[in-house]
Amino acid sequence: MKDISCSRCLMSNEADPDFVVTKSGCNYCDEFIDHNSNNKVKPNTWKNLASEIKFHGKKKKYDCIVGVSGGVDSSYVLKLAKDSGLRPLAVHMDNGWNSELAQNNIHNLVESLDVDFHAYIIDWNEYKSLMEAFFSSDVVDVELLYDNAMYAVNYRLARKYRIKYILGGMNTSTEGFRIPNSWNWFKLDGRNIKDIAKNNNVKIKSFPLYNTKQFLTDYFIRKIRWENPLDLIKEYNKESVLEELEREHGYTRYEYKHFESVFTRFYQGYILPIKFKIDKRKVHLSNLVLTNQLDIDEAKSILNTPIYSETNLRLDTRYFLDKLDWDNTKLLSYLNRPRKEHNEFKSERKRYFKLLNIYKKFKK
Amino acid sequence: MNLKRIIPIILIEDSGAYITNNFKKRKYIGDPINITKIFSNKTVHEIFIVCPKGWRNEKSTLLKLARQARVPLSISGKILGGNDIEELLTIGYEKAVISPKIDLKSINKIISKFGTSTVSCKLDVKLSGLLRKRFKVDGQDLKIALSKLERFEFNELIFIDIDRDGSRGGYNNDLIENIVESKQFYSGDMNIGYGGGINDWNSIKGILQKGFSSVYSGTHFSTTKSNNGVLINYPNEQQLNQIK
Repeated sequence: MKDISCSRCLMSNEADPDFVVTKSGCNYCDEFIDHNSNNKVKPNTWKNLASEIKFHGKKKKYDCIVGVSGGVDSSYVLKLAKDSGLRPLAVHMDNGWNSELAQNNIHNLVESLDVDFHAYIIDWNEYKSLMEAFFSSDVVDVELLYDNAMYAVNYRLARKYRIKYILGGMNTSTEGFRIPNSWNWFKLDGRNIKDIAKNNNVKIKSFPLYNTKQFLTDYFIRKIRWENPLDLIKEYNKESVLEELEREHGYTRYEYKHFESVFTRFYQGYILPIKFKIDKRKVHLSNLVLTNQLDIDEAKSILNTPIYSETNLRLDTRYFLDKLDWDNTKLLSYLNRPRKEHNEFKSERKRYFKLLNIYKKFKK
Repeated sequence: MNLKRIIPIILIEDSGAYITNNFKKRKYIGDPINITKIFSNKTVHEIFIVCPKGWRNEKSTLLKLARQARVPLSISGKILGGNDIEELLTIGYEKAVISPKIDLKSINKIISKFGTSTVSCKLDVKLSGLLRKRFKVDGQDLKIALSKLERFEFNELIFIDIDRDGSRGGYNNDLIENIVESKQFYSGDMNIGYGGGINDWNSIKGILQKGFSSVYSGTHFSTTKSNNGVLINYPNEQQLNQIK
């Protein structure tokens, strides 16, 4: 297959069957620009939401849940919530791969903001066997496990404390560029996780699964809403936010994006590029290029530098092998096997999007 | 003057890490390997590994743990004699923490072979008696238990207050004074450590100011004050400078 790249951003047809070149660039940057021009934040959006959250949270111990990872985005959401007079419960999920930096950032943040903190610790031995099942199945989205459980834990706590709002750290200014469909999987797909586990004789005992049925109940019956405040405030500027957090909350920034988990670093920095030919930096860098925060030539040269320093790669590989009880041979044979698709296993993705389309038509 | 040290405890059972309350109630806090890595990145003074089912039961975890740790490790849990200690030293543990119940004769041999820095002794202290005013170690009065250890040159005597274990209720001042008063039973330069009830930086400082060389805690270094959410933490540089 011929290599085709976009002229305006960094996306290409490598490991992506959906990539299409267009007149102005490619399907991804077209979509991003289109989305951004239609989505101008109206003034007071966050202020209005905050008073709504307060109203629904009257007489309750907490009025919202903020999921924290130790990264800058979710840290800032927690600060924003507290500064806006909300009573957040900070929630963190630990899958056994947390970095020291993340733990330290969360600790400094919750102590200095004086908010209640809840940690959900997933049983590592169970998580490990689930990861093992995902590796044996050669599917692309190993992080589906973490992301799905994260939804489960947040919604579960919202139900427990009768909280109507969950605040997340996603934002279009730094994360709005769409990730190609073939690079990850539908995050509410509890059925997919279950089937992959079953195919590898792994029994799910305490792992907090979440599926579309639970989501629909939480959305329509309990009316729990997931909101991303960073999209509702004007000009979320990462650099000034980082400086503020460093100054006031003992925050330490990461050398890499998403270095809250050692596995995420190893997965994005080694497994994805080697086994799946996927370099997620393309998405992030394209985002910066299209929002004029980075020059395209500069972005291309960043893309040509290795993701990992040699020392870090060696240390992380050693750690990965130790954590999973693997040896080098096992890692090599995994990396060399061809990928399999998530939809070779049972899935609720199709049905969910069918329902979503019907709902959208119905709403019109 | 002895070096002051602050030491997190990780309790390991069936390859999972826990914190305890009164030595009984357990709370799962995650994968001991990752927790060790985090403490290690925080360059804690030392990590104390406790294996209630015995260290041999956790051997595969202990091996991985030693590979991850870049700080000194001490360990306790059914260490029965010289052979055990020798094996632990070889796999990367710097100090064996024994119970006063084991045959102490063999210990002297070990201490003379490997040096006093390799063996410490842990005394789990419990209040008993009708008025709950007497401190006991394995059913013996604290002072009697201490007198039996008198002639051994341990690196450290570690006192753990079972009643306040995991309580965050502050240290027991009576117990602290009892230990300090019993100074005649241990040589003046032997280290003494304390654990149980640690709830904040002030209680750590308080214990160290009373003459203890180290403070031990599982709960305080693995959870937040509000809500007891599991989160690994350790005093920062600024605080550590205060106790130098």
